[in-house]
Amino acid sequence: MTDTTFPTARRLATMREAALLAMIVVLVVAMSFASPYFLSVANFQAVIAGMVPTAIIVVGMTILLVSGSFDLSVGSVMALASTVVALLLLSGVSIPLAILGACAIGLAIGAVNGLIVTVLKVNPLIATLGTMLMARGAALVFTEGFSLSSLPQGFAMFGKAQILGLPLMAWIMLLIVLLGDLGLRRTRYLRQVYFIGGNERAAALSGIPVSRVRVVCFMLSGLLAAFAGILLASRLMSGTPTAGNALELQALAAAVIGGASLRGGEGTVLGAFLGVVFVALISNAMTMLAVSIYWQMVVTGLVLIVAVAVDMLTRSKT
Amino acid sequence: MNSMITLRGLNKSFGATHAVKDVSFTLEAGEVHALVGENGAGKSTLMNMMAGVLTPDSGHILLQDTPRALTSTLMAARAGIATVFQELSLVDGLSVAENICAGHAPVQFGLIDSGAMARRATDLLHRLGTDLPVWRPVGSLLAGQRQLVEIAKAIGQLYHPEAAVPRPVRALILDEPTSALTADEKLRLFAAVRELRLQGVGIIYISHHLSEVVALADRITVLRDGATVWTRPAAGLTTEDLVSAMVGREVLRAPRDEAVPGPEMARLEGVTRAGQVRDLTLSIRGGEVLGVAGLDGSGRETVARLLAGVELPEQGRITLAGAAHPGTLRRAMSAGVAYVPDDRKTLGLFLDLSIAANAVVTDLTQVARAGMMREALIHVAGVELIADQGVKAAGPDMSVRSLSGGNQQKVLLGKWLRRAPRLLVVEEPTKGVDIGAKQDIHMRIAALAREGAAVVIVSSDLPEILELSDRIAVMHRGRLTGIVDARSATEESVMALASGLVEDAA
Repeated sequence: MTDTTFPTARRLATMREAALLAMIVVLVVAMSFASPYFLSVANFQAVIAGMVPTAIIVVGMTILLVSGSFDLSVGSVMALASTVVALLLLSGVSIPLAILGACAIGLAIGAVNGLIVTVLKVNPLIATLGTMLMARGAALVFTEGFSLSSLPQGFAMFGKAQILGLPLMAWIMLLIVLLGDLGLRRTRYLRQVYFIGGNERAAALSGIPVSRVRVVCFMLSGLLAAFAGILLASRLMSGTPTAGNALELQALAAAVIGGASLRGGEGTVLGAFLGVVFVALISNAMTMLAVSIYWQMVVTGLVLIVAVAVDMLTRSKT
Repeated sequence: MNSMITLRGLNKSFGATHAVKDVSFTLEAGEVHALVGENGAGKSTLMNMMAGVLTPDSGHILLQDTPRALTSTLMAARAGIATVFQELSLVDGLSVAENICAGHAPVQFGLIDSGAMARRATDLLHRLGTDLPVWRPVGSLLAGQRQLVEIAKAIGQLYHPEAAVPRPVRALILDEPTSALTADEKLRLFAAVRELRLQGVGIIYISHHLSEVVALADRITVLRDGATVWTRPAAGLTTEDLVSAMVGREVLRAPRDEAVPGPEMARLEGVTRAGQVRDLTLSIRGGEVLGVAGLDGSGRETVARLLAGVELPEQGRITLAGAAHPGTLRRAMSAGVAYVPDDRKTLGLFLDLSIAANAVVTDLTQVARAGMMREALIHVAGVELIADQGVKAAGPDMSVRSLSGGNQQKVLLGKWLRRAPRLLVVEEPTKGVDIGAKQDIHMRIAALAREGAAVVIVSSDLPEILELSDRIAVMHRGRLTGIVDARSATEESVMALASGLVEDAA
């Protein structure tokens, strides 16, 4: 495959993806010796189920990062969507309509994020910090802080149904990641994102509808977060207003570990996905080795800083 | 011997680019030695090796006949070489004295001794034959004053933090010191340079402004493609001698046929934007190059931005080929408008993307099929742009950042010419580009007009406007003071209109 358009960024991204893949393999091999339970089917299913929301959310986050922006509201939007789908189901709305309703909430919040950033010119940190608090608050208001259970049995299919030994939601996650990767690498529409992230003013003066593309990217991020919330509700069979706490930061960290840059113009969905896998495996490894769950956050933070520091050091040499 | 710096057989390569090839010359005490050459000729690399920023691959640098390895700017400063880089290094919020004494502020009992600092700054400025209020914040100074502070600061770097007296200044390197200066400020800078020359300092003077070089320098070294063409005494040399040595061939002017005016491509009618332009009426026809001249603040760039659709008129109307202007650049592009903004780095190009990516940004659909990008088509677009515009580059995958200014400007123009515009609006078509590239760009702009497109050139470079245009619209404080025929116009006649001294009824 020859990617000629963005050679430097692409070469670095490919290197990053290869390095991450190598580290993932090393981790798996090392862990299979360190713990007899690591290579079990049950463990892998647990790891995959755990990373579905982050892996779906990281797709939108990466696209936003490439455009030179990001979205802190995703964790809250996921929680809000999980409660909205539960509320709709409990009030007797059919499963497809309830899913559509929750997706609409995600799209709407994404659109609001995008409009705040492009029309009101509020920077993305503040804009999405605000909507993050509002979405979380709304989820808590709707549910008075409680989880909503007793959802109709048919809704469990995303978590329960299995194809080739993997739950349906894992396949959906892989499909979204693949489509996201293809979309960002290949489609004309999302190629505009690299130009916006590379030089926003030059993009506007080259005829790229910068604001419109930005709003669409935020809407995509909101939609994916809402969809992650629907899958979560299906797996847990409840709407959980407190779900996805700090998920936005985990997704950001994974995308950056996977090669995206906060300055914009760089990053791939595949790299970000590998970042999610890597972080998930490290957490799992620590669980297997009976390290306290609290240490896992410390280690994730450390991995993030090490990944970026190594990147900066290798880049400054070239 | 009194040579301050002697270079013997210096070589420096960056990857496949042999930036400096076997360059030797001497800088004598008390001479102004100018380095001239096109962008990419190796001036900056040579300068950076003398300043300790880069180390040569081979060859020797001798300071007063003693070989020295200059492996850092600090080491170069300790060896008595002061450098004023093109990028200004001053901190706006700090005072003149604080800027000049950065890194070697005189200290007493562990605290900065502000009296001693002011005296030191004043002394350094006196060496340049100048006086500035040393407690003024640098941000409030004019460009010319800032440049003097830069030089004082560079010489000041020769102070050791612990010592009260500076080391002797052997050499001062000035890189394009006049690029932001007015005529008066230039004279003051030249006076400062001459003052230092009298004190026995050797001065390396790098500039694109050849008339300045001829006036100021004692000797001139011309570089081309990394190698020395010659070093000669400046006396008796003309700018034409320099140009032909730099370019390596006779300089051609863009061929000028009689303009054959076609149909009207754009029209401004009574257009007003508060504080920018007032009651502007102007018509642009196919096949002609219309120059827009005016001093800074005359509103000349607003004409370009209005035509491009980047700004909208508050009153009046704009038409494109008879139809109302659609009001945004994106829609104007569909009507055949192309707009080259004045700052290629911040407004025009994607520096970290490849030439090919920059080539296709103005028309992504052209290199996509069914909504999917085709890398092969993008590659071809890059190859075509390089060939069509005569860009010097290893290939379409090179990042635009790695190109010289002239080649970057060609990429910027090329990405718009690919769309075969009917109305090309160009701001500052050749700002900061070398002579060869300037000539190439002028030829392509003239060629587009000959093919029947309308071209509007907005430039602060009056000779350029006179050379390229068929008609020149002159602005003064937002108003059109005249439209003159470029063949009969002179710099003086245009300046008279631009400064509002006369108003042409036409």
